[in-house]
Amino acid sequence: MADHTPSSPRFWRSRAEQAADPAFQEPLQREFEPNSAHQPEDPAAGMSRRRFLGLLGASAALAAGAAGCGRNIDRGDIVPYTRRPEDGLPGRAMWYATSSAEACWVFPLLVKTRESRPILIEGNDSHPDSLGAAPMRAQAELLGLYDPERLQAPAKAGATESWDNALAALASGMGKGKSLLLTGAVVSPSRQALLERLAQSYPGVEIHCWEAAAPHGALAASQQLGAGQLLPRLNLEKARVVLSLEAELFAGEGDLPRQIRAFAAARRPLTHGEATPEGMNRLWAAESRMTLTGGKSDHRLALRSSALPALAFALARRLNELGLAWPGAPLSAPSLAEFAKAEGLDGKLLELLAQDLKQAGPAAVVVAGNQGSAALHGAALVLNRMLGAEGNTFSWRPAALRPLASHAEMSQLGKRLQAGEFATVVLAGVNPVYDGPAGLDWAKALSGAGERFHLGLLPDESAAACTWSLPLNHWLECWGDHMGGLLQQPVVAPLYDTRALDEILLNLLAKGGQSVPADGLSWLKGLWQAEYARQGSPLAFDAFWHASLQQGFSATAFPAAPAPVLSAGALTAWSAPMAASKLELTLHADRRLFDGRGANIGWLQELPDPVTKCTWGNPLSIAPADAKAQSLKDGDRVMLSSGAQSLECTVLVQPGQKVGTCALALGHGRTALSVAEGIGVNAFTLMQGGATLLPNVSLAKATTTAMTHTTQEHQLMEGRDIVRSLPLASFAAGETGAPSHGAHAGGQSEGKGAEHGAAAAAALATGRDHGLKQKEEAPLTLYPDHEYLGHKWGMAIDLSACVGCAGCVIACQAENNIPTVGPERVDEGREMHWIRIDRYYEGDEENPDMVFQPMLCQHCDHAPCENVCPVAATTHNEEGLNQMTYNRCVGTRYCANNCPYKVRRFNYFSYTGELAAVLQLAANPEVSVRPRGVMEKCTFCVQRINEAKNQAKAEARPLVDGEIKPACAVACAAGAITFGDLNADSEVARLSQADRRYKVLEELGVRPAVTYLAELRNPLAAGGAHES
Amino acid sequence: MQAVDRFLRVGLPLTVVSVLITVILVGWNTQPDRYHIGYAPEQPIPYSHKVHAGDNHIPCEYCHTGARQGRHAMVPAVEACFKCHNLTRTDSPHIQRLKAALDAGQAFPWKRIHDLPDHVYFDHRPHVGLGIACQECHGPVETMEVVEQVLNMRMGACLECHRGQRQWSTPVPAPRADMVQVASGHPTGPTSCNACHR
Repeated sequence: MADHTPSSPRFWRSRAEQAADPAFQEPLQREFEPNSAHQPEDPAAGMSRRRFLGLLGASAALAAGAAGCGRNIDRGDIVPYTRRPEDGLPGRAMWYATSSAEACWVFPLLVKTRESRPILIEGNDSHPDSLGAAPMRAQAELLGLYDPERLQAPAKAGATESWDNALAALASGMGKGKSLLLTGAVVSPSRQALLERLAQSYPGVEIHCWEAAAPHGALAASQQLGAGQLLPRLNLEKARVVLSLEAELFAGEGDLPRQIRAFAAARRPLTHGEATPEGMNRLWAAESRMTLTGGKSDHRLALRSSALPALAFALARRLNELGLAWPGAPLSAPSLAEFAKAEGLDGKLLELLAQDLKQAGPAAVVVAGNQGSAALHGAALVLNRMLGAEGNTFSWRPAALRPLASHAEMSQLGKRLQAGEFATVVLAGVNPVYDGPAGLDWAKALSGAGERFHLGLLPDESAAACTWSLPLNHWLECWGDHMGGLLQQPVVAPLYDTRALDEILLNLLAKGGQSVPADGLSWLKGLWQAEYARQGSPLAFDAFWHASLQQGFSATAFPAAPAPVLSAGALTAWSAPMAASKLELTLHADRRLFDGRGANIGWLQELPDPVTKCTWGNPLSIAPADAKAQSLKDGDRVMLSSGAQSLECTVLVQPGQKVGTCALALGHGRTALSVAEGIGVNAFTLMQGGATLLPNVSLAKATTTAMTHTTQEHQLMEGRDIVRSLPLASFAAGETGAPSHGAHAGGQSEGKGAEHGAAAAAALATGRDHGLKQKEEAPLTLYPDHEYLGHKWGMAIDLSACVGCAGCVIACQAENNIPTVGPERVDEGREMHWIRIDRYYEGDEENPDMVFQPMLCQHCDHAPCENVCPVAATTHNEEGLNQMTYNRCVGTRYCANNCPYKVRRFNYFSYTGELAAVLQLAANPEVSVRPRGVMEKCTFCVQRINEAKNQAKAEARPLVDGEIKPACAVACAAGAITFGDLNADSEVARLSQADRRYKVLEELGVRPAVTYLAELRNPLAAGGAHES
Repeated sequence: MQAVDRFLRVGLPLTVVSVLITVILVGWNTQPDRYHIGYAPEQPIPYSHKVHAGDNHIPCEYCHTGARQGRHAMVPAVEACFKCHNLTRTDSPHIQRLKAALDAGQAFPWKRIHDLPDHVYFDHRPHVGLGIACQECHGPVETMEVVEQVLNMRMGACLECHRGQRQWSTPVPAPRADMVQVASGHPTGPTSCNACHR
């Protein structure tokens, strides 16, 4: 790997740590922040301790006196069902298959309900795209459903109206003169059919689809070839070599979790020490900003975003020289060597990349970032065509069922609106006032229309600019379908007086004189029945319908599109060189909020960004060298100017950011919605003409500073042997990633290493387990060993598979009723996540690698927390779980102080108890809601363990391996987390014996139950992983 | 000295007695009502378990269908009564009240007798699945005109059984192979906190 000075740690989490800054070390010596005594919202804050105790005593006496008067026992009522629904069993969870969509992408999902209220969203485990994993935003939509700010009844100018009046006004508004209907990407066939028929009844209506952060570059590239709007659908499981051109493959946007699953599957070099025949894939990343893809890559090239298309064309020229056919008229691209020289890159590494791509041929794929320009996507297309990747490592799919408006088209619409061309405008699930193309005041433009209808869930920025507000159902409350044969069924009756968008459109059609059903289900079923009849299946439709509903989908194939034909004109346009500028800005979709949807969901706001580890906001990432040159540091405020537009941002010095570039996430800076309001800055205001790459931006340091709300320096484990990462070649040669200096007590001796290495190499060659499990001497301990007669729960986490996407964090939060605490508390280190993804940098800060390590309670056999608890609130059970008994906990926090893994969390406030009543509906009834003053931590999802055990006992059968999956393991699309019984013949028992295994801080002798498998990378030449 | 003498003779005993009385009063009055053996609230209709489960030998699980499937044994839905009572005793005013509720789709609340605190996650499944008679915890319900609580429902009562120390009043089910064996030969259950609290 890259060079580093011997004095600096090999793995580091923040720049201050790498520099061994004493100011950084000091706060780490304190477990708890010193200023944590008083908090504004603490009800006891304005009160002295003495007065508080006095009041306590008085109220106790009062209570005792009142209770002494009589003993009226009333335990309340049991209210049984009057008519019990089929399978309606109180206390038992029901799962429903449904699906959701986000911009152009669709996700098969399962929703867990208890007593008819949704409490958890997971991926549909029977769908090959998901196998149980759901993208984080789909999981977090549970809070979207229960958002207390949801619009609850139709209203006109703030006054509640009846639906009859609202729908009559909508129909008459759309019936007279010209009207404009703006909606999001249409990926639902049943909605597309509705919109087509809407145009028949309302000839004056213009329908446009607006997605601010859709992959506009990719759409434009395929449109320039006359192929309509197409997107590549990746089959990463077939790709041996992947080249990412600033693509976020694992977070943010796109076909998650399909991409993560497929990538991880192709990256598994070994299972249980056995070599898979095809070996391990190789990931190359070329990018200016640090992405998760770049962090996970085997080779990362840091270069300006504006040079990326040129890199691709230089590669294409080299591939042509290597014998691959050029797909169009020959172009005069610079040679690879010239390009490397001009960009200051290592020519040899670029040559290796070209060779690697050439060798993989059709088993390679080039992926351009979703926010990349048309030229970048075009260049990727050229490379893929040369390699023959189409149809193998990716296929083409239509982006949506209706064309999406480009930024230029949308700007044009805005101007026509402002000019008063439309009498009525209907915003159905879009928010142009927030994310409309820059350079136009959309609130003013909307006011050009006489009647303005807002159809949406939340009182967002655009709702304020509209006269009518027609609240829509959440997607968990209505029927629908999505491309790829997915069905969307409601899992809960509408919470409020809201309607489904499809039902509003049906009502419009009925008012327009068409004979259509009034409800969404009949409409959907009618369409599906007609389609089913067309296919001429001999089976009855009802059987097919019920089977599809139960499964959540009727087919797994996604609609395909023919490959576009390259044209000379497009090639010339794409290969036009882009001028370099002193400082360029890349705008990208936020890894948590995408384009700002989900901004009102606290879980997503408080999730540390997988790369920057910042919560609550979008700081501007700048390169370490640029920061030094302009004497900027984390938290400095700067005025970022691009042309006439400027934004005041908070600086984050981001290792890996290319010199002369900076990056800012979209989706923040809302001016409406209470959770999101005022968090971060709105980068859409800089997006002139839809450009995500802005040349010639400038920074001017402001006098103020702000917090970046980062968690990267919390819970630090002081540079011990915590993460292990090594190249595949070194592993094959016998290394395990253990530090060689002998500090690691459980490590192997030098002599044994060589012997082991020969065996491992032989194993790789023959594909057989070499059976050389070195005998580990457990560190000495003062305590008697536990004896596990029955189960012994354990976990194995494969760092090689983990891509750091943080889907597990949201899953854990939803499953275990974990509260959010807000940015101020995060700054004090009081975030409550039971599982966190520790992100370690490796190498120099100009272009580091990243290693991700999910860190959760290790359920130590000799847990240091248990010894110090004065009230035995945390104890060990007979199955190896370190259990937390909330009722006993008195909040001394000794346990958190003594935990070497820093995974215990303390309730400084009553977070959940103060939530709005409707938000409390999202709580999982199987897990206690913890009150103030109580310590908590990961339980290995003991509620799931108990549920499975109880079910097995009721059925008088033993537990099956894989039956129990904690929320994090289910949510892990990469399959990095395996849970099970270490005492049984189980997957986790086998993984715990794999050659790459290690325990974090094993030398402490605490005997953790979590085994980590060292990360393997697959660089072409060992030691040459990184060049910049 | 007189003051000290008076304190020792009068003040000290008074203090001790008043503290004792306070402790006893507060303890007695604040003990959760779940400890009350013999609690038998009046139900909305005088439903007799003696008639149904005793005289007519209807098995418990005929109505309490949840006992083997889930956490709650479940008070049966109103409509379950009319598996029989659409024919039998249709003249009873109580049955007619039930029928009215069923026809109107109205809720029919019963008084709760057995209650566990919210932080206890009890599940009927493993207990019924093992073959423990319902009467072991709920008493001879088939002899009760009005159901009353017979077990104190405290953690000690749970642990007595889970530790294999209980004097069984019903036939003792055979311990299963996966259970930890204790001297009494009685079945045991998990005694860790996480078994019931989480």
